[in-house]
Amino acid sequence: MKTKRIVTNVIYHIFVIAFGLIMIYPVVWMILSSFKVKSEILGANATFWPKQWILSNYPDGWYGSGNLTFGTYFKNSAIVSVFGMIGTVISSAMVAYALGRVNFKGRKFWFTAMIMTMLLPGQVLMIPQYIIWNSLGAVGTFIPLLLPRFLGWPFFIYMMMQFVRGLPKELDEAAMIDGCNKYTIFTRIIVPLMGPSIITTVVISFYWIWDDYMGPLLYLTKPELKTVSLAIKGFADVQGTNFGPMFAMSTLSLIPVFLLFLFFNRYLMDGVTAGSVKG
Amino acid sequence: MQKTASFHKKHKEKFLYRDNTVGYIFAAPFILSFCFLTLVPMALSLYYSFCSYKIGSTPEWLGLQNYINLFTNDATFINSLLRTCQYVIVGVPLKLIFALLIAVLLTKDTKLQGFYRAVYYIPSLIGGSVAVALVWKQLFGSRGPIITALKAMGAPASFSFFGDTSWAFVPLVLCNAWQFGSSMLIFASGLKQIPKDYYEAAEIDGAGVMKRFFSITLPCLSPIILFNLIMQLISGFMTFTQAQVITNGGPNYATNYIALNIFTEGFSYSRMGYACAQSWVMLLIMAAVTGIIFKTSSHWTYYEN
Amino acid sequence: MKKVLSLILAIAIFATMAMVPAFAEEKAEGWNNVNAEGYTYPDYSGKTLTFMWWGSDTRAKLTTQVIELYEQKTGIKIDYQYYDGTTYWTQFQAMMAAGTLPDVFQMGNNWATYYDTIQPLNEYIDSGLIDTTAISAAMLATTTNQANGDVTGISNGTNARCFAYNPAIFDECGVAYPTDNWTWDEFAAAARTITEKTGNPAITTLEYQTLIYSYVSQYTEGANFYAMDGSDFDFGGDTTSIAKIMDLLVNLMKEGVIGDYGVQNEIGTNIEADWIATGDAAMIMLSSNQFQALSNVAAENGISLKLATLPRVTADGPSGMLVRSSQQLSIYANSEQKEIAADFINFFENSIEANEILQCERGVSINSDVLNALIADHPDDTVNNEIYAMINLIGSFPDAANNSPAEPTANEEITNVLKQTYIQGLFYGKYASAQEAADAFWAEAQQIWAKYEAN
Repeated sequence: MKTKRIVTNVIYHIFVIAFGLIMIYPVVWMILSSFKVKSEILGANATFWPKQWILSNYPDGWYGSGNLTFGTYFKNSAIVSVFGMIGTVISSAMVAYALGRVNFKGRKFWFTAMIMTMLLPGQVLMIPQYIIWNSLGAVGTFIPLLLPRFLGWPFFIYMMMQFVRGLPKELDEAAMIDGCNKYTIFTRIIVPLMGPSIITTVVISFYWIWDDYMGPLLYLTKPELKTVSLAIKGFADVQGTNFGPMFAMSTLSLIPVFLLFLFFNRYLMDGVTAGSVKG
Repeated sequence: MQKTASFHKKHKEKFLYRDNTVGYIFAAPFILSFCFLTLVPMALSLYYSFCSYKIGSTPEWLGLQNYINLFTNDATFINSLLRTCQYVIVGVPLKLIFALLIAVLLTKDTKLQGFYRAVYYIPSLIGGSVAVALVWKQLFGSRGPIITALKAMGAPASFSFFGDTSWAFVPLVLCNAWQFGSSMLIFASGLKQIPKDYYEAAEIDGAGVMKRFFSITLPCLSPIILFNLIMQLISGFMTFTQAQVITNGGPNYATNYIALNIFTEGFSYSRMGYACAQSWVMLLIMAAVTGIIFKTSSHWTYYEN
Repeated sequence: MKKVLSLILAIAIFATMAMVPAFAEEKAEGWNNVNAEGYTYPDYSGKTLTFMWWGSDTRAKLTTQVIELYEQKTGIKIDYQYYDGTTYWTQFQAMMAAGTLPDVFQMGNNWATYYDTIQPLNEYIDSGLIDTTAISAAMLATTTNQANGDVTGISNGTNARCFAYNPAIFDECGVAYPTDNWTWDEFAAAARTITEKTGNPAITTLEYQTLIYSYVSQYTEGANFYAMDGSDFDFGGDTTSIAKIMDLLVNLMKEGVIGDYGVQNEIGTNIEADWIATGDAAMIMLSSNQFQALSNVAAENGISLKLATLPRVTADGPSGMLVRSSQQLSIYANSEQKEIAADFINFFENSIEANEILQCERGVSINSDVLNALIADHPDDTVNNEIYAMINLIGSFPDAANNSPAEPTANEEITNVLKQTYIQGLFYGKYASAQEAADAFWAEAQQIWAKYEAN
């Protein structure tokens, strides 16, 4: 019995590791490529492992575009992503509570409106939205990227709604008897119990904003406002792409997102609160 | 005096704590953004879809002409609709099954769980970047490891993914499935919410792994599955970046998905009105599909209450 | 868990309060304006000019240096933006819709598409604000609307579509190097031999539309696909020439002499990833201003490359080639400071000091004084000298001035359907013969043209 368990365990780990290696192969390829000379990155001479390790792609990339460094771009990405993520969490949790838990007139209508918003192809709204922001004089500032994040993000609203609806109704009744009102139920009962979905929102919304390319392209029109994703694209052009520096900066831009994930992964796994609620 | 004061207090409370008030206060952020950032632009785009509108000039009313042209005189558009459906039908289930299986696999309590999950999540962190496109082209390219392996297993010498109209979508579907991280995370946090004692009870009843998966995990996860399904359908229908950077819609329009087609019409050919009409057709199709799924969802999703 | 959540909430409240000053801080800081003494530029110091271009990070580095130089000399501040070549146009269209285009912007040969947004430069040239004395009339003509004489911009430099080849592979396979008037038959024979001996495609990157339009000029001995002024088609609708070249190219592709769509797509627009850079392919079709970047990568693999002309129908027939403006600087029609914009363009195109920084990275300078100064600076720069020589050679072909540079508004769509619908359709067997594909293409091209006429 015990040996059987060990064997199953070993098979499990071998499988997970082997499959994991396949999963991260492209990422490893990218990271290794940031240490290669150009001719080893693509084409027939391309190798997985660098024949000749070089570090120069990193300084080349960091100082590589115009008279600004990636320090500026990382700062901009951080501003957009951190505030955007915070806005998303607060506003989406509020709206999810309203749509998922409160029985108000017009709830069905707003729910449908939210689903419709999710369905809309971004390309359709791009130009009209741009015209609106421009008439407000907000192009060339962070406002068009940040303000909408404080007004709820349908994807996360919907996701949190699924969690809110899964929480037992009796909790509310119990809380009411304990002297809570509809507002304190949200802050004291619902928010803590939405734990895993809030952490999920933190991680996913952060990296989606971090990776976003179209938004910064349209609205951050000044070089000193560029985000990392926009600046990285600047390495690529028909007249020649600086792959080495591009991969070096892509590698650096992975680090904040990865650290955030590692940090919150613990809480994702704990799920202590979720476990204690049910039953 | 006292009586009136308490009456007022009660009345005030009633208003503030009424469901309608609470609902609208909490939903206010979304209502604001819906009105100003969605409804107004949507109305504009609907109006444009009935016009000939070149960016920078004034729209000219055409009536239904754009919509008539779409279905009677635009083989590229019809083709892009069909190709998009192909992509969605193959790609979405693949990604979801993948994400769910990995999420379940990684619920096993081991010391390495956090590490494993991080490893599986990394691909999703690099998004639709240029780097991914290059790696993918390299992997599935004519001299890449996958073609080499396939040829060793007997594929014809001229076989190529990106050069074959019926195979070019495969790398795109796989690239999409490979980035299953956010679906996996959502599944994983859903799995966390399933009470442990359900499983314990089932184990006492002698239910096997499979039985437990189908009778506990799947039903309890069904709202999350519905959510992921809807979200992946939407992003599948709107797939753009990968098709643009990896195959650029080719060869011979084999991966010219609808969002790519809209972008080309609107931005390359400057026919915004026509592009808006295409978006509205796509929107209606997506609305119909999600509508059907929502309607049937009550039969297969399970909420605790 | 609760701690983390309350932490997030606390940060959120703090962040919301911090938001307002964060935005205010983003207002750009002033530059250090230094006015050079005795400089003859008009005194516009303190004004701000906006400028936008597309290009690589190398271009960004060089261009910002020139901008700083201009700022130092004039005290004018330049607010600039730059994007990669593809996304530039998305940004451009959004700004066009909102009426917020910068005072000066980089424009391509597709200027006809954006004609309404462009300020004609004629008055500034007439007044001498933009000095064109050292600029050849032929080059000024490429950025001029032939129908009404409006100069839409000043070219940043010239380039030409041509071939590059690897002499080592030609030697190895015992194939003669391309001559200045090599023919399509010679090209096909050489390419077939190379593929047979090396087992690789001889060429993987080709710009089909340019080859086809050039073939039309060669075959008809003078008629162009588009008229010189871009106002119409020119070749009269006889599709024989289009069918012939499509047939040749598609057959070579089927034989594996031209890399198939899989290979072509893998390379895409990354010219440095072309197989010629690794010594696998022997030839490539490119724009002369891409030769520098390609040579740099090839050199890492110990390969040196040479330029060659496009093949022609008969050795003594027309070349079908032309020297074009690579791109141009134009002034926004609604700019409120057109004089400053014109002054900046004058500096950018005509100042030797500025162009010693820019190094013809955008194309060979059209100002002969500037070009001579650059050649004198670097007599040993073999790669750039190869480019100058090729541009000179093509310019010396008698028919070069008669080949149409026009890219009418309908061109982008016509080019796209030519490649994706008809050439690829022929390759994938959707048409019985090249003639059938060519006829279908011609019918659709006219339809597309009519669509743009109607607007």
